[in-house]
Amino acid sequence: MNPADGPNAPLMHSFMAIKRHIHADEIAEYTAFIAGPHGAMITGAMQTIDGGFGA
Amino acid sequence: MSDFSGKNILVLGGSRGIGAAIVRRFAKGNGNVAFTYAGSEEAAQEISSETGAAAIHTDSAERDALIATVTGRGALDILVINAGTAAIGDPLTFEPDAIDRMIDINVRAPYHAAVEAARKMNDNGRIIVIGSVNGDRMPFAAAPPMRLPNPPYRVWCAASPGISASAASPSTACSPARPTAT
Repeated sequence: MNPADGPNAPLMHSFMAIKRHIHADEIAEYTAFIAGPHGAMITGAMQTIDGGFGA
Repeated sequence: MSDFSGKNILVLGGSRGIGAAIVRRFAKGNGNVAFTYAGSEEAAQEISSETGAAAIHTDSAERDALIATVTGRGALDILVINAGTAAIGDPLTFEPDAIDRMIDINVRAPYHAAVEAARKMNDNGRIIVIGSVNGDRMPFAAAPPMRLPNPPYRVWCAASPGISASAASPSTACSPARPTAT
């Protein structure tokens, strides 16, 4: 929908502190952390993973 | 790497993008993984073959089917609600059905799936919602098309995972006893 090589990429990156698309694997690793033993007491929380897009 | 062996895991929306990466990650950790898909039959079968995860056709917009799929997986340890969609454009010209479908998938489905999973979730269970900064803190998210599907709970993030990899904002709720408090 919005690939890293798509026409909107430069615009998207212009808002970001870290100017690249996030890899799906990076979201998956976060999910695994939350789902794993270290995430046992994390609840009702939200983690933004946007490379600083909305910062 | 976390070990998910013995864990019963369901990923809603797992055939592509972020969802597929999540399916792969849990499968790599030896979890017992199942995932749903709606439109991407071929991609779903590929992920299934690759990971050994069970692919289940379920459109999250269809409440009864969604509930049946969640309950059909028994006592879950981990539910990941990743399926999502987006309607982008001018609210004055949106197709009403497209808006309703977005609300069904992004707002209603996470609620029903979480509640049904929580009814019999194992101790130390996890419910994780993959949302988007579009539904939370994107600077121009105050525009009606983005705000419309925003539910009262912050973790019920609206919009599409994978619409932009730069806009994924995972959120989490780990208490099966209080699913609606997520």
